[in-house]
Amino acid sequence: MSYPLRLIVGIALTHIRGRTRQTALSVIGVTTGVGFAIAMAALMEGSQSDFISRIIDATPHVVIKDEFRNPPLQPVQREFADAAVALRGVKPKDELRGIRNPGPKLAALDAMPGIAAAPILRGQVVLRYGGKEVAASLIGIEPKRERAVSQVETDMTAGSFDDLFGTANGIILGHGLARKLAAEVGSTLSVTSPNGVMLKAKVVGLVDSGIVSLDEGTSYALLKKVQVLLERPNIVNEIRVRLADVTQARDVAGRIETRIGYRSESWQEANQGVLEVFAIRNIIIYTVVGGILVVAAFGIFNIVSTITFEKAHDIAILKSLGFRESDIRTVFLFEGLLMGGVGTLLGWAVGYGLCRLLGSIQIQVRAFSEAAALPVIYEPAHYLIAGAAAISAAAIAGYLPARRAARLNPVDIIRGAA
Amino acid sequence: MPVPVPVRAIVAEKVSRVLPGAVATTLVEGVDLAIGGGEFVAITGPSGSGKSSLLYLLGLLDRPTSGRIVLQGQDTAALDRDQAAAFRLARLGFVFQFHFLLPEFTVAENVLIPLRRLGGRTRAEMRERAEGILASLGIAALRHRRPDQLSGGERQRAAIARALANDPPILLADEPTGNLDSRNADLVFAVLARLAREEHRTVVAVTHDLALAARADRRVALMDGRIVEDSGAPSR
Repeated sequence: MSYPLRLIVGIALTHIRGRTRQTALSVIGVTTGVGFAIAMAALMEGSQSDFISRIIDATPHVVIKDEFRNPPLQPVQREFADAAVALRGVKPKDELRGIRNPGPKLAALDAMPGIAAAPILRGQVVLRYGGKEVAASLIGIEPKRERAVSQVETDMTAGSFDDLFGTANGIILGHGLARKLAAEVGSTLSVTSPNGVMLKAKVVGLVDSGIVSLDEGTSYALLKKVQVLLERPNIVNEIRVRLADVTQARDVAGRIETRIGYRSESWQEANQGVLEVFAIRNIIIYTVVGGILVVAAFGIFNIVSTITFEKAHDIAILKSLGFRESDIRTVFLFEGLLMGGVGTLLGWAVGYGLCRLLGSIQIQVRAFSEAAALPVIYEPAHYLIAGAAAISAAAIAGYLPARRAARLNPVDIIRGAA
Repeated sequence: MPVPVPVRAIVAEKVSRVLPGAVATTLVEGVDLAIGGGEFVAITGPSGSGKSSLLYLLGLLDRPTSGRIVLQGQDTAALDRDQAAAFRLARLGFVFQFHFLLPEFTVAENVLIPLRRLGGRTRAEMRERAEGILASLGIAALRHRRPDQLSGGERQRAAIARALANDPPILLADEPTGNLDSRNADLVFAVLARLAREEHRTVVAVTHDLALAARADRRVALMDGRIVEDSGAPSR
């Protein structure tokens, strides 16, 4: 450090040492702001990414549904769009709902890079076992494709997808569903479709996704068996797509919809409401945290202003000795920055401590079957952003009185003292 | 080729300073003054006569409304604020009625402040220079004391030591004995006289005290911002 800079820093430190209590209060203000900013950001982004991993990663990134975004036009509407005569009462053709003949569509999807696709057929069935009847959703899957797009097999606590092939009619039950039926692996249930078709199925596995509503109402069987049970041969009602790059979901969904025609919904579109809530929540919390930092900046402004007022004689004499305005500005700006810098360092420690504390709290959320720690993420960017915001606020809070101090006319002060 | 030593350290030509306002106030009006190198000049006059205002103009702490001030051959009108500050740091020393020592720093640290701001010397050289000045003013033993541990005379001598830190050829003193008893006032004035006569610095001191002023080489009396009497440059 050069002599002049060391001198300026020395003068600034002397000023600060002269007002220890007020300086400490200002530093505590910055520390609180930075600490809470980090903790809030860690908690918010933690819960957000936890939501994404729990809900969105557990479900497909793009779902191709057996419906169209806009209903197809009737031939007469297509041919005579602007006709003067309107035909009323044209009844659409009564078609069985579903994605027919999914094979070529799956082949087309397989040809797209970074994409894994799996068809399913979902229907409502009634499961009976030992006098108990439970309505549930039965999902027909192709195990080989399904394991590439969902975590169902990973979440299995007993059996595996391959066990579906080991018996005539295998079925995998959600943990909660098995408990409701008092069934276990090896139990043989009767499965009845809404059309009255019934088959006997043997429980070959149990799934515990951690999401209570899912586990209490979902079961899985081979796609072909479900198509037979629901009397919808060669039809699926969803194609689930998983992407190598989850952020591309919206674009990929658009491309698939253009190519296949069926409504393709990205996870962002499917969860748009939740993501909007996250965005609003982030704005609210960051506004509160920003408010804390602004209050802390006012503390710094107050103390630097007080020092400049008290040290008016020193400023005058330093200027009469030959100090430049920029030297005087640097003295007081450094004081603000020092308080901001120390507050930031302490705030980082407090923020880290709060994150550890919050991360250790176990909570029981009704929607999830297991108690979970508060989701907190440790992201260096949070520390850098909070620190940069605090130091910027401190710089502004220091600069304004510093500029005023630098402009003081030494003659006015010396005359005032004389 | 040797650098010519300016014969006249300070030249003021028709210098005026008027404070603007609803009713303009004239502090200094049409002052013509030439002070030679090594002269010890006392500026006298009643309160409000413009003595201090003239000193602040000569010290570049204020700017004249009209007229020209040349210091050490440098026309100061051409200097911007930073250049004026640099000129003060290297070539002007100030002593005020109040010592204005920085209270948190020791005497030695106060003397080191302008030395460190100017730079160009090693730390040891700066310390040696500061201790030399303090010794020449008889306050070397007080170097580790803070201003509040000094008497009035000691504080003023410490302020003179700080003003001399960068070896300025011009020393400007504004009522340097105004807060001192007669013994300390004599002592401080003797120091100023010695700086002019032995070290050949140009010393301009504003004072009310005519008895002390009589000990200067030259006396300039002001009234209502104008020079009303000038005893003239000494013959030496």
